[in-house]
Amino acid sequence: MHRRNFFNALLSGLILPLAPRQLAAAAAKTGRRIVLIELSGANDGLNTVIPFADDRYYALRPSLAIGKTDRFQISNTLALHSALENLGSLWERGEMAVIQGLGYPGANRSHFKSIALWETGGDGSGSGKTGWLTEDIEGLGAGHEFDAHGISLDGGMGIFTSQNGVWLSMTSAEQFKRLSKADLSAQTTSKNPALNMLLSRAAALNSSMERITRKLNSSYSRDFRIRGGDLGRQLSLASTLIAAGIDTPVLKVKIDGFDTHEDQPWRHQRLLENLGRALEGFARQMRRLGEWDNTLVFTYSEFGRRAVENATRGTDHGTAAPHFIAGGAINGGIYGQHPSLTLLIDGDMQYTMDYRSVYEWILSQWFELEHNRFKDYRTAELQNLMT
Amino acid sequence: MSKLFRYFASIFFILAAGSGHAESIEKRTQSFLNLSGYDAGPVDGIAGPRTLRSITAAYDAAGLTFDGTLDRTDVAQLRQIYLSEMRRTWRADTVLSRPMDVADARHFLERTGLGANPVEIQKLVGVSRADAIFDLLSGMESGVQTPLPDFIFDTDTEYWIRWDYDEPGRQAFRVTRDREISEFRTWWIREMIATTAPQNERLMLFWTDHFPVEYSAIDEEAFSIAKQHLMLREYGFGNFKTLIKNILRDPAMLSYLNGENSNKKSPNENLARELMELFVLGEGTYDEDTVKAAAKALTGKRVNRMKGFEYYLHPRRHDQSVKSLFGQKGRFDGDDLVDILFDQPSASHFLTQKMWSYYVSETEQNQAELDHIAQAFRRSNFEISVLMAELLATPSFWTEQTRGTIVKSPVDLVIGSIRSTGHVPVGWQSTASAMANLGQNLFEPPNIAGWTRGAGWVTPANLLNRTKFVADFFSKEGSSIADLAVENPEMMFNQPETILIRYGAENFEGPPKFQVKLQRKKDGKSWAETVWRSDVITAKGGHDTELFGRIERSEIPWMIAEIKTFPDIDFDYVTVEFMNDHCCGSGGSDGGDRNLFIDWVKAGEMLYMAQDGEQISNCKGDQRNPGMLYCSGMVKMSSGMPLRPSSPSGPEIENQLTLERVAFLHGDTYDPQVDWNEISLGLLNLRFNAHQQFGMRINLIAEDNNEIFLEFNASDCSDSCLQGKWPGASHSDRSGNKIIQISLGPREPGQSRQQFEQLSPADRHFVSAIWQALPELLLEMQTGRNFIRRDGAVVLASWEDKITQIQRRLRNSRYVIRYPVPEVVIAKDHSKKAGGMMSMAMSAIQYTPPVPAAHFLAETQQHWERKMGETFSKADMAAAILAIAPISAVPSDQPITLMKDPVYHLK
Repeated sequence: MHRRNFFNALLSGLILPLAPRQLAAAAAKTGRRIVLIELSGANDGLNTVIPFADDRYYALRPSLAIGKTDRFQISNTLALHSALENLGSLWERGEMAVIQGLGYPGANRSHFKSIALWETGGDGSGSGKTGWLTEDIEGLGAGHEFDAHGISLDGGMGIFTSQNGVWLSMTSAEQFKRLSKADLSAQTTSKNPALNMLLSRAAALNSSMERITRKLNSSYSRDFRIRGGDLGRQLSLASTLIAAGIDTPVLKVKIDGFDTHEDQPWRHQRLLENLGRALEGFARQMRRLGEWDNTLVFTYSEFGRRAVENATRGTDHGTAAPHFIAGGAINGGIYGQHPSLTLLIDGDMQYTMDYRSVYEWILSQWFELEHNRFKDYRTAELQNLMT
Repeated sequence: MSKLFRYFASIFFILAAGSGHAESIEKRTQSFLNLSGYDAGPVDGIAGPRTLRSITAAYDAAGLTFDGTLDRTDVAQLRQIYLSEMRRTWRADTVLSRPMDVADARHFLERTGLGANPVEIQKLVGVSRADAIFDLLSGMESGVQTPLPDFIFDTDTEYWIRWDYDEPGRQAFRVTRDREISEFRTWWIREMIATTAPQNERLMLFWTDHFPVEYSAIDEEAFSIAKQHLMLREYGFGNFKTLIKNILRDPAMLSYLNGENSNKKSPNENLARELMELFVLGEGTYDEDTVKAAAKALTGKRVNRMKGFEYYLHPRRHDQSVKSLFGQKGRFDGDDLVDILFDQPSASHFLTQKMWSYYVSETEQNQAELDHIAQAFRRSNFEISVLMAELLATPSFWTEQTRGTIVKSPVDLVIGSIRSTGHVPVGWQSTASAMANLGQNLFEPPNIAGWTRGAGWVTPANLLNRTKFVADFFSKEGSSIADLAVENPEMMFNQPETILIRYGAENFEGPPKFQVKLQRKKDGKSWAETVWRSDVITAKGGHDTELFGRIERSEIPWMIAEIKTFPDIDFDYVTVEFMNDHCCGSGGSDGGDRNLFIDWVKAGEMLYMAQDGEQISNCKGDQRNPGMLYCSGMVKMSSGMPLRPSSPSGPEIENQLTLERVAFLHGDTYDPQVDWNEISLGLLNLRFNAHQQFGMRINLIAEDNNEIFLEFNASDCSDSCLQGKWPGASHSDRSGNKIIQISLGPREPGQSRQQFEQLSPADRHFVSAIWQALPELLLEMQTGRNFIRRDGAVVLASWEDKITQIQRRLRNSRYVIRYPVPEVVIAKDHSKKAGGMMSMAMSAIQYTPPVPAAHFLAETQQHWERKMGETFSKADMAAAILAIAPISAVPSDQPITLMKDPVYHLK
């Protein structure tokens, strides 16, 4: 019997953890982190970033259009929903960018399928099989040992689908203190590759948990209360972890309820209020900790909502939508093109920027991973996104 | 009819097995004959004299007689002859002739089945490897041993009309589907624990991973998940080509991979790509042009939800153009595509490699052996039994190097531990959620690539939970199955003096506690008086949110609590009070929360559904489902359903048309310039005299020459549209479905008149009734959601004159004059819902834990350990439990210590 190192893609996970990291990643930046905010249920972009100067907007949204008193202007053509007024300060400081018209070819309108595409970097012709940033982040800062590659604070692990790396789920700061270590830590190596893999994973996990628990125990507790409902609570947990010095490049949080088929005005208002409060509160905490320049916040959602409103004071599943990027190092402003409100197909706007261009920017510019999975999607439209 | 018989018979009924897309019996016969050394000539599907001669020879040698006609049983017979022939060669082989020792037996059981119980091991020790493989494969079958849930047999489903429901209606629909999938999950778990032929379940785990579908990604179509599961059982040990052709007709897969939306105008490549990449050929064996051509071949696939998710090919949506595939050109359809794919060299290697990684090793391979197996697989024209026989007989399967080179899946770990020890935990109903916590929620694989096995099973999050599972499972007191197993569940359900409560719990710093109260209305008072209250009950088996975080609603582990003493008093309400809400960790409620969920309460001879009750609590809770108690408070239920519904439907009134709902399905804006204007209506649960139609679609048609018809299409009725024969004068659509068009004048074309006249008297009365009901149906359809969302008002306004005309013509029509119908009644039929609920409750009530096959009488841990000690020598103990030598710091021969060794995670 002889052993082949790369039996097939299914099995490669067993071998990769022991393989050396790519050298290309050696120069990559550590110390920076991204906080991913999932707007679950599909946010209505048109009523978040409002093209108020376009008459067609009012024609498409006879009962849902956001009027003058319920928005604040950020350019000659665009305004933000007034529920986001808390973000006004971020906007004025030039720390928040709006990226318009994000989407992908072959739009899928199922919540489950489309979010899986955003999580794995896929499009209508197929989804990826691992999280969009897992592989690149696992290669980040060669030799540097993170406390974890990423931590999900909302329980969702789809975006961290990977056979390698230390991707954790943590829903309270107390949780790890109560969990016993993985009791698989015998310090032997064996001829058996599966056992070796198991032991090395357990060792990595245990050391990660030990460090996280130690850091949490030794950091003095501060009040990181952030308003904004559940999202605020998740971001205050994120602040606690960051304040304790937990070294992880990715944190993931979620705010749910954006599937506003009915009674949208009232529901959307409350959701955006929470988003604005939580994001602004988080930025304030990060500034206090001196971490804001190292932190990037990115919102995403499975798809946008249809431009044409429906008959039940709501909107149905659509395609393109704008998203926010914020952070101390961000060069605020409006990026990309707003989708045309004339050239609708079946009542839907057509995306003007592939969402993977943003992924590419995050990996190549923020994490300085030049050779990443999405390099074909690089776009000049985002080149000034960082100061 | 016994239940056992019923579900065996029904699998075929549900599948409605077609033969057009199966490899022919002749071909399969020829390949088995050739493999068994009886020369049947080329596998050409023509049963000529040579084939028949060699069948006779094979049958003679086996002591059988051939009756002269080839059918399914001959294929099974010849497979058996092939296996016997293989056994003969295996017995002469040095590796395979060896009698099995304890380590061999454990290895064989864990790889081909689920876990390895000492009793099973004991039976195999001393048996030759050759005989063990033969017995295992001879025991493969498509039937199951645990009765299937009732919902699978009810093809009268509302899926086709659900988009017309308002939000609460759809919510209730979803809740019911979630209940069904969880019931189905529990059913499979029971089967995996109890079956005496675990090799079937191992193969099913393989197929559900090879053809994965996420329940939550296909709009809650629980029925199609179950249908797929039964299809895989039926074809999973047959011919792989046939299986693939069936997968391309499978409603769940078509929905999951957008197959239903793919048509000539815009072919969707998803199904075509995954077919090649993940099902048959493997990545890198085809180019993008091939994907595009294959996508065209797969266009036009549709599913008729009205007819129990029946598959059909829509001729107008199917692309019949010439496609170019792997150097061949032709007007290929899906089946042609499959045949071409199987001609590609990688078709035999791809599945061989994947099955190797399931059965032989995830880390080791042997190219020569793989090539040999793949060749045999191809030679057999892709018989799965041949592939499995070759895999189990290959030297690498038995060698030391491959032992312990597969990471146990959560199913292996949980079900395997239950079967290996015979220890069914008290909270066994939460087995599904235990496995979900470990990263394997059945029917919810992560994506179309299936589970990420190997290292994917032991991600950091999973690894923590696995360690905890093993520690808990082997540290608990022995289960008290003796207390639970003896009760007859159906009797229990029928005992008026017991109260049963189906609940789910989320624990946080302890489980929820609750109390059941019976209350009576007070005259003139707004409050109710409590006339009896139960003891405080602690909810067992809940989901630990402290450790695992919150869960999806469809994953709630449902449990049943029982209160044995039930007083004989009158009451108006059954109330369940949640007494000890407790929240939260610093991460908010998502960091842990204590919640109580009530599904139903059986009290006396009535069943009370929480979803029909009222929630009184301090927080908003879940308004749509009053049984979900997220904070202290209660759910109060007043209207129960009798446990034995009096009759399935109300008394029939002669010539009365009753139905439950009318949905606006589609409508053209009326345009007098266009020769054909149409409005389609969906009718739910329609009854008229002997006619019963759970779902039916009718089309109202107005032509530009002023002619008006009602159109009935045979494919648009859940049952047959007509009681009698279809008229000889019927039209056909392009798929060959019969159509009749019943005219309302003014001219009535000859064919249309013949269609009416050739109907049976009862059918004539029936179509007349529908004509007379039409004005009311058009009114009723306006209450549904479709009407609002599909611009129904605009459509209807454009038809206004036409409708006035219809009403005028109707008054003097033969329909009204000759076949008068007193009235149309639109009423909810509660008996069906009640019946469904009842059967769901009945099956939930079968809460006797499954008895593990080869059950080891594990009343207590100590007992089991002693038994182990009696059965195996100290030297054999580790070999009976672990795949390779333990690595714990202190080696031990205690079973429990061995099970906590890291090696226990491997097999």
